[in-house]
Amino acid sequence: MERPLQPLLEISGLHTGFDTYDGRVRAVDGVDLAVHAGRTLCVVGESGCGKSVTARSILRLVEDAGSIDAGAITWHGDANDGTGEPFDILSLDPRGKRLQRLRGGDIGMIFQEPAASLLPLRTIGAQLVETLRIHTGLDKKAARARAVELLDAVGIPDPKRRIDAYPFQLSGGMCQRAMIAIALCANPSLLIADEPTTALDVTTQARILDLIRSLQAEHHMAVMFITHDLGVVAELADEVAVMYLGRVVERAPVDELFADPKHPYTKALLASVPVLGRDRGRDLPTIPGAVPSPLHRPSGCSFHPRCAAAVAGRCDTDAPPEVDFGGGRTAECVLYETEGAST
Amino acid sequence: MVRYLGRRTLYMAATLLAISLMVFVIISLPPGDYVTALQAKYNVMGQGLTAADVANLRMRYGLDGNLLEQYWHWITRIVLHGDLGMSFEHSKPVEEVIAPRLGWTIAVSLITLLVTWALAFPIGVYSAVKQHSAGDYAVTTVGFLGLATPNFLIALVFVYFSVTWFGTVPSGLCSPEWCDAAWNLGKLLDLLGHLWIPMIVIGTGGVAGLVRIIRNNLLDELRRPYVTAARARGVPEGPLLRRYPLRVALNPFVSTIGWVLPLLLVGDIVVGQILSLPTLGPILLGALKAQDMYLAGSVIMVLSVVTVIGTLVSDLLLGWLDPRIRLGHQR
Repeated sequence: MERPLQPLLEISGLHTGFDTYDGRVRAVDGVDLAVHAGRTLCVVGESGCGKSVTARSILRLVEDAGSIDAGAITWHGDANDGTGEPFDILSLDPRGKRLQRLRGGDIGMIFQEPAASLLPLRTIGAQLVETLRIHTGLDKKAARARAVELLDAVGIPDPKRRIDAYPFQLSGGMCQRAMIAIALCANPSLLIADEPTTALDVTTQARILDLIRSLQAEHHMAVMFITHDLGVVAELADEVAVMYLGRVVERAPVDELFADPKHPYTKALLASVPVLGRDRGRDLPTIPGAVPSPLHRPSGCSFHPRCAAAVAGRCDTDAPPEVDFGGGRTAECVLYETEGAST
Repeated sequence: MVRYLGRRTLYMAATLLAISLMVFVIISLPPGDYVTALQAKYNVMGQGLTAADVANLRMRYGLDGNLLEQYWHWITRIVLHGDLGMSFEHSKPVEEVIAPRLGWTIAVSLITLLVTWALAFPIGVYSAVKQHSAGDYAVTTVGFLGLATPNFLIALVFVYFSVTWFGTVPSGLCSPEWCDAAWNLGKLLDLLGHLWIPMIVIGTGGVAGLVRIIRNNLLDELRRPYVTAARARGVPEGPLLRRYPLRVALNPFVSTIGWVLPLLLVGDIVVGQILSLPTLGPILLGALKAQDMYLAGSVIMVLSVVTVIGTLVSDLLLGWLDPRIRLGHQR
């Protein structure tokens, strides 16, 4: 597919923090990302690295006590299909019509706990029809007919009957399918998937991933997939962004990332994936230490206390430079300082 | 559904029977009976009663048997004839003592309850949605005060200011000149002029308590993933609040109906006493003091019946509101 000049969504310098009793936690600390139309970006990292908060910041869904401090999230969707100018989502009126249309209309989103993401007191049909009517203006009857089609499209068997089922009457996998139907009901050009398969068992997970992939091909939409599972990344991604403690430490096309990881954190992450056969009889390699609290971020490179290649007197004092290798590859590490065009 | 209702009715009957026995025993627990109380009263007035008088009185009131016999006599009359017995103190059937006050009691309580709900609901929702705002802090502070101040104290404060400023005691629900009059506009206005005092006195604590319940329920629900998910699919804030968290927060509200109904009937006992309201509360208090056992027992039994029915009503309502709740083994 030919890539348009502008990415669909561009995040630059995003800072999102949370107020806690111990001070402000900078959960997202200067993230730059770009999602291109029709492509899949996987954001990967450990728990607490800020990947979910980044995803939520896009639709301005950061909960109370948290707020977006700085940065820009530019939506080029209107410009790309010739209906308008690119605009910064963060400068939209939080109760305005455009943001409301962006949510669910231009960008669909699915979440980690499918059953908890649906209101248990209303049928999945009611919640699907509600969203359909908000974004498409269909009347009640037409919306219901469309809802049955959508449920069928996401692989829910017997959709005519299941449309009146309550979320607690369906399995987690079925609920996630219903969530996908709701997220896609207005043909969004971007789907944000925030660890949508984490709460599901492995077989269901594989089916949901297949579903997302086939729907993506069908609707030519971009997907931003948040996960901590490198297996999912290998299966789904076009581009990958590796996050550590609120920053993107490495960006790469998926093949290059697995073949030639640059950042020491990515290397360690890949080394700690168990491989059938290879790891028999030996301990699984792990990254020493634990993710530091974002309240007590190490000075310099935040990964240096756990890094095998850390340069004393350098990594612990200076923020690492972002090295651009060209072709969409970057890494935030001093080791490559001389290789690429540092920014 | 019919089977469920049948089973519940059976349980209700058993519960009420157990309650009636307990109530009767507890009322009879204090030493002495109505005749002893009467004896003491006559002694104060300087007219001693002879042993024969006492025995005669005991026989007349049916107090000469043992406790179990008395209970049997009372409960069989209620179940078989719907006869609640005689009130010793008022020397007329219990029904005739309760009936005229029942209407007033329900009227005062119902109006208070409706006003309480009408005030508490929007205030509670506001203070949850605008948590940590100046308005929320104001509501919470006033709420704590309202909750911590006993109703009877507020009533006493009202009485105090009424006496010092206007020289009258706010009592009852009508001015003397209107009390026996037939219903007309004048009497209605007079009633409204009196009604606001018990409404404020009884309502303050109720509003404060409900605001806290609604606020806490809603705060719990506002942080659920389904709220974020609904927002993420573009549901506007107003409908989002009404259709999602508020619907869930309504459930505990409905489940309070069970104990709100009896409260409606008895009114606030102490407040009723202080403001001389024509409600059931003061009657119950007087009956307990005079050991007027049939009257006291009957009032408590009426309350129990209403409580049990209220619980059934709130269970049925909850089953209708929340599809997760199944009544019995249906479906």
